[in-house]
Amino acid sequence: MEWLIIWYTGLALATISLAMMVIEIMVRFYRHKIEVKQQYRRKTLSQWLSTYLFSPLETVDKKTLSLRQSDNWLLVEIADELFRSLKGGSAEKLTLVLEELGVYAYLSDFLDGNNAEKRMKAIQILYHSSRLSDAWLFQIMINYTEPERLRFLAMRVLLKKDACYVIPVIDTLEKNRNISWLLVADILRNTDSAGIEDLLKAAVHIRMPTAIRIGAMHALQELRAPIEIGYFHSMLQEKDERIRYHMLLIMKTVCPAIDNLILQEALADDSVRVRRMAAELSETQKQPELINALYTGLNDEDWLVTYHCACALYQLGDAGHRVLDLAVSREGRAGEIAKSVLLEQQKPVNIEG
Amino acid sequence: MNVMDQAQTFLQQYAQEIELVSLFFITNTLIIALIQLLPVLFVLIIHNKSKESFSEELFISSGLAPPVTILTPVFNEEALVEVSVDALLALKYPDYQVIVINDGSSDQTLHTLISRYELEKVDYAAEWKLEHEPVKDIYISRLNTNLLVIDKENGGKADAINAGINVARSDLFCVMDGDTLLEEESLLKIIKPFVDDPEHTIAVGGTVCVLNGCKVRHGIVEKVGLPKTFLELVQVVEYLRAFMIARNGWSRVGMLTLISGAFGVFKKDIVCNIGGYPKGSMGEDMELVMEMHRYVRDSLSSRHHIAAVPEPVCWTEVPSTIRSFCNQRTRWQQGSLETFFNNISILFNPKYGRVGLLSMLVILVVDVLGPVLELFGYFVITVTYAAGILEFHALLAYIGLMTLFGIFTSLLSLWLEERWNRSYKETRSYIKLLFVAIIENIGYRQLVNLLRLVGWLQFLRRKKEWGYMPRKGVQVIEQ
Repeated sequence: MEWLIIWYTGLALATISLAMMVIEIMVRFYRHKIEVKQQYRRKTLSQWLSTYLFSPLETVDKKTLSLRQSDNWLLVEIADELFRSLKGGSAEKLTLVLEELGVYAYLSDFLDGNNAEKRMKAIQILYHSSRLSDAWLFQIMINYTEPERLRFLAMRVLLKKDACYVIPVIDTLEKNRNISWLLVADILRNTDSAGIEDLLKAAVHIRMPTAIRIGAMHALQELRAPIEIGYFHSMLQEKDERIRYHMLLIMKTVCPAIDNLILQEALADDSVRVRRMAAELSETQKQPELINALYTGLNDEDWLVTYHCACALYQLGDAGHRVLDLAVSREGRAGEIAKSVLLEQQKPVNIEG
Repeated sequence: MNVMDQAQTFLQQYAQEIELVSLFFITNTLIIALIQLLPVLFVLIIHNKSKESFSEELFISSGLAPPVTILTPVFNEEALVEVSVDALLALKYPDYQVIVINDGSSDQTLHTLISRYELEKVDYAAEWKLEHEPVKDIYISRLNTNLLVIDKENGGKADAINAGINVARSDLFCVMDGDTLLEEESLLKIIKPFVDDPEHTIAVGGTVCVLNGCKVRHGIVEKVGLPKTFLELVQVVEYLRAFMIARNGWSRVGMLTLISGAFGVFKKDIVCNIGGYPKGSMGEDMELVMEMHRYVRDSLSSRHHIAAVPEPVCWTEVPSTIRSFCNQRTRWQQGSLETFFNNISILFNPKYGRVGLLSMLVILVVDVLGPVLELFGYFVITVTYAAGILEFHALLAYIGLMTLFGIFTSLLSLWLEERWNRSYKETRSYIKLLFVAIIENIGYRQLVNLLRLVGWLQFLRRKKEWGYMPRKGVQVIEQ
């Protein structure tokens, strides 16, 4: 009996496998057929749409128009591609052509439908045509049943339209516990300089989730926001190591000249990551005031901190060289690293091109 | 009474017990098949968050991608080294350095590198923390300062990687084989988990696909194709099953124990703290991951993450001759056994979480005992059938079930691959793979098990042989 059960289980599996195989092959053939057809239609439709962009609207052939309307989705895809490549007056013309073709009428159907891909495209086209209402976008943004990427897209578009949406967007992002700071930065950087103050508030707000704060900091960096030195000082006092580290990362690109007190403080930080970044920054800053902090850094337990400190000392010229020579004469680990840095820096490679 | 009669009497006397033993083998086969089906379920059920997080373009435009050092050990690869390094230097990633480690090549590998990239000898400061064979010289390219070449005495792959780790200055390093080809966006994809969870992600493995049969131009796979021989074709199905499904599935539940040496990214600090790449091991990649698991559980927080990237990101050549294939499989088996016995203390140890309680059990059942029991099962069941103890339908059930389960898992993997990646675009290729997925269970599977048994024997005899793999499966369009 048990053999029969086993045997029938195997038979069932075989049937499932075979059925899967047959279905998959059929789907493949069907998909291939559709793809070939779509390619041809896409090409002709794209050519047709482009000709109307450069001719008066009255010439739109109503018969062809009704024929083309059967390709709603394809037309939307092509329109989206065209919008990405067009600028200024041509985009307005495309809007008029799409109006004439009745595309906007069925875009609202896409927006109400369940297909996330179609909704994304519809939002993009409506955005390019400046026909997207803020209320609509806001609804999408706060609706948690929407796919996340659609909600993120709505946030980006809202921020591009008006910087007044920075706070509502941050409020919504705040509810997403596992969000990555890079994604937050990607969304928030769509705002313009009018949003700087709100971003700054989010970045320094201690109760805000770290990912949001870091994202806001990087968005500020992208905007090249003028940031007061007090902001950086206060950030260095933060308990969260990630905030301190990202603060230095931002300073690397935003500040051509970093206050030596900030670097001194960072060189003595508890976190290896922060000390490494501070030592690396010191290399480009060439500030003689850092000489003592860098000398202390030569005895850091982390090799990279010591290495960058030694390089930074070398960059300081005679004063730094004397310190390095002193370290070399005292032997030990710091002396060895100082020696290898001296050797490395004395023979720079001639780069071509 | 002759021997045959005695055996016949014995079998008939213990018929009931022998039938029980046969049932044991069948149950064991079922358990292995079910274990192999588990990752498929994990892949289907557990959502992969990183897949829809941020776009790769964001990395490039924002300049926020963490710096990475790519370590490529090369040994006697003068013919391919230029293509590989060119491809590496053309990767889409904002901040990376390539370190080629010439592991004492006896051919013109170093000379080729020096002349092609105008290398200049430098005094390069490095932290010589990990032990390895002496480094003769370090070179830097005058054409591209992101390229560094270490020339050292021969010491094997692990030794070369350890030298590279010492010289690397970034927090993350990427290990890849000299013959592995990456996609342009491979680094961007594999770094994603580190950005998603920088505190807890300690290693990420890439999905490796079979290069044989593909067309390559300037070190980039231009056209994905299938190889011609059955041996290579069957390995395509195997790789799809192993990378797309098994590693991806196990990584989703935090039970990944292997990152392929062909392409993986690791946190430098952690690898340095465990003493670098394990030398002298036949399965150094598996050993490294296990040691990392142990280290983080012993010394750091338990919430660490070793991930696998589900998209195909790199291509490697698989053995195309029976001899090299046999060498590779016996070596893999020796590696698995070595890793298992080196880490046996964590088996069923709750301190090591899922890795100790479940992953090690999976290795024990599938890799350590699996091949022995399966082959022994074939023997016992055939003998008992021949002696008239087991009925024909029982024999059929055993062989049939094993074959059908194998077919089922392979087809499911192919189906998932088709849904996600669709690497093989031609319908003809797909049908070919389906066909191979069916017939691999008859003959090939048994051959692999036999080779694993040989691996067992070599492991017991402590025989270590790396073998040589001739490379001929790639069609290079233009250099």
